[in-house]
Amino acid sequence: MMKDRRTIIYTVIVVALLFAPLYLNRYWVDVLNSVGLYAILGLSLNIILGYGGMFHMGHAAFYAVGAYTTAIISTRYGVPVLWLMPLSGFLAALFALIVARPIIHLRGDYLLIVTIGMVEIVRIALINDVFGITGGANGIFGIPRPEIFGYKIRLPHQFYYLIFAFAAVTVYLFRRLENSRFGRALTYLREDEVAAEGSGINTARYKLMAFVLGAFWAGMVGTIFASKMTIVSPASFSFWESVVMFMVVILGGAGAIPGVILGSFLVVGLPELFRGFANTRMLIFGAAMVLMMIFRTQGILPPRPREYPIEDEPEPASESEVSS
Amino acid sequence: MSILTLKKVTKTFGGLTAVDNVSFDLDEGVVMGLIGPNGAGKTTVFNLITGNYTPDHGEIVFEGKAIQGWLTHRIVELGIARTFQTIRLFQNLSVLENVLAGSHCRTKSGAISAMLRTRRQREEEKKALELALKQLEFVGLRPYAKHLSKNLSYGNQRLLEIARALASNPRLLILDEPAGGMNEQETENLIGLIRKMRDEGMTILLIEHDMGLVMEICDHIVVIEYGLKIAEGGPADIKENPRVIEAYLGTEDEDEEGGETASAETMAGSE
Repeated sequence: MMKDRRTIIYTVIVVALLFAPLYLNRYWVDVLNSVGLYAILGLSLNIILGYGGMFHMGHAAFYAVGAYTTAIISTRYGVPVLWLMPLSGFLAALFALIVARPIIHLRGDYLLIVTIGMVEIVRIALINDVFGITGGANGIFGIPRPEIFGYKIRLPHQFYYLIFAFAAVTVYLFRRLENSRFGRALTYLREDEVAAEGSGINTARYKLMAFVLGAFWAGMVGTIFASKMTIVSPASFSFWESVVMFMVVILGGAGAIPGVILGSFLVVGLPELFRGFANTRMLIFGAAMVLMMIFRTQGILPPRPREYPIEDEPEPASESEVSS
Repeated sequence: MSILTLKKVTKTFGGLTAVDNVSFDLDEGVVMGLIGPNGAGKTTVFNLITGNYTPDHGEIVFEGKAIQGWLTHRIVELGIARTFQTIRLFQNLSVLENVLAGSHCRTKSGAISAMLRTRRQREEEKKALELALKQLEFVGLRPYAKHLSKNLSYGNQRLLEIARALASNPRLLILDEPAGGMNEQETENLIGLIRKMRDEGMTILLIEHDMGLVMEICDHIVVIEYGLKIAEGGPADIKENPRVIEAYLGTEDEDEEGGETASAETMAGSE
């Protein structure tokens, strides 16, 4: 019964999103574009933070590596931007592999601090025009628009379909990932690292893999972001950016795909709705976050247990009641 | 034929020597008990074998391979599985998923094949599921497969730890106080289970304070006190061994001072 209701709700949402550009003006479509980008970023962070339980607050660094890769290569060598998606993802993943390797053994708040340091170092390196290719504080201009079969994507509603198609693919793939040996391994190490290692799981490797995969996806989102804005600058990849992604995951429900998407709507979309309240909107938003953390610590839509194709067997005429 | 050999293994924590030059041989297909008073270093010995700690000196040889200093997951892969004294289940996951954790090292598919859901991945998943159900059936927890593990009774949580360990298909199973918190009936059931595992050819090493259980199922017993091995032998020898009786009951002098008059069995019960 519950399942049917969920199916109906999801169907309604998908249909509403499918036709959204038809009844929304450009401004709101653009807001939805941001929501979509953050949803994908949130989903990629969710692998690290949600499934793996690693407090990683430097995700913007991977996003930046992807965006800058696209910006540099497309402006210098004229490579079509969408072709650069895999490469941007790959370089972001490589970057994650290098920087995460020495820090993954850190736990909880220690990891948090180090990842904050990481994202700041990346931002400062970009400002300082590292290798002379990042354009310093001004960033890089004139990134070309994406093209699909000669069809140029320029307007918000065109980007809308690109972003949401990518989001749909992401959800589809990550759902499978969640319900797999890989997804389970991350959940085990979140639940109890010692027990996971003791059960034969190479915890260090899985932590690293989570970072690599999360970074790969964030890097690909970076490509879309760069071509949507046509400009990238260090200001877009501040620590605050990481905090927003972190909030998207935690608020919506760490480890739950629908939760993360909802989180993105709330964290990125809601403040736009409250624009009328001008300065007080962040105050209201902050208060809402605090209340949430008090009354629903696991997020608004926490993950539901995985389902397996096994039959129920009746419990024995309860031995446990006799024995307790 | 010995499956596991400890050669003069020593582990110190700061000034404390938790395990002091301990050596023993564990023969294949045997149930061995490791006993001793609280704080004697039994669990430390287990942690050394399973790679949670690295010994300061000495060698740990499993099936001809020196494994001291290996990472835990590699030791599990090699064929040694364990349960924990303080139950360490994945509390918020289902009973079934807890067992699936054990089969992790016997399966291969990674992130990409999961996303593409290749045929091999699906088949592997199906097989892992069947195997996990078989282990649950074996320990008698099949009806609880979908329950959250934290909702199981204490005794059943211990059984689930065994099922999870078994899912990694070990040749040596290490049980750290498997009967802790179990009532008599559950302990009986556990004894039957341990016998069945031994009959299937598994070697079992266990720490247990329930002397009744130890004397009933162990073929061989090693006793340690303050990190030192003080005795070794069959259950009958150990019961008679004056050094062991002393370790558990104290000497005459201590007896008067501490007023410890409990027998080995009742002491064990109170722990």
